[in-house]
Amino acid sequence: MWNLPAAVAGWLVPGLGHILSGHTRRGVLLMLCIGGLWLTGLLVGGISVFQSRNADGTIRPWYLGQAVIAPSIAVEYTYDSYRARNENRDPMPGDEEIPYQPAYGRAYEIGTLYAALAGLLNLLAIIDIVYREPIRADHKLPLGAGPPQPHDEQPPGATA
Amino acid sequence: MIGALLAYRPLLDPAPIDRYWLWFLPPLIIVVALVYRTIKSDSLGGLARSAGFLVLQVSVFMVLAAAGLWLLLLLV
Repeated sequence: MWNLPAAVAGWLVPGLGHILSGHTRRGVLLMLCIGGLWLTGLLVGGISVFQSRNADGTIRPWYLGQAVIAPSIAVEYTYDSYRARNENRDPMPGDEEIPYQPAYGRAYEIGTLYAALAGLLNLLAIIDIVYREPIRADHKLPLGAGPPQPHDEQPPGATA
Repeated sequence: MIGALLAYRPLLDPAPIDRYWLWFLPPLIIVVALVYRTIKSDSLGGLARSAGFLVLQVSVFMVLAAAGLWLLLLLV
């Protein structure tokens, strides 16, 4: 059966779906790797790497990858609201208020690449948790399996 | 460099990495290998070794691809 609540949790915070399904170590690893990659992209490129549209109004393909992590949408909304206050253009030297610096060159490329790759890796993690069997917290057994039996604990070769 | 770092506002401004951008590529290989192995492996026991092997495979393939393209460029 599809584990859709875990998939939504994984979209909101990378790895959270695995943690909620009982795969704690796997979830923490995914959270550190994917979250770290996304945060590094944001720190390197700044908020201007999260653009949903190009200057001509067409959808920016990189954003489709970035949006597989939900916080990207919040960052893009913040960036968009800054631009809306500035007549839909990036701030220029000499403007009264410069709330952010737009990224160009390598910082733009690396920031965009990191955030988009984090989104695509999160897509893999989401697909994984949709099909992965949840683990019950009390016995660490797949849901639907019965309680542990005495013979489960016996060493190999021992007779009942 | 110091001036650029002092003026840097995290999350709002791009970081001054223009001279160091190549150092940002190896972590991508490591994270891709770690995430791939975390998802694909049944057990996380030998994760470090299997992810390390995948990092090595990807790196070698990238170097070979770069060398091949460089040779192609010399020939054409």
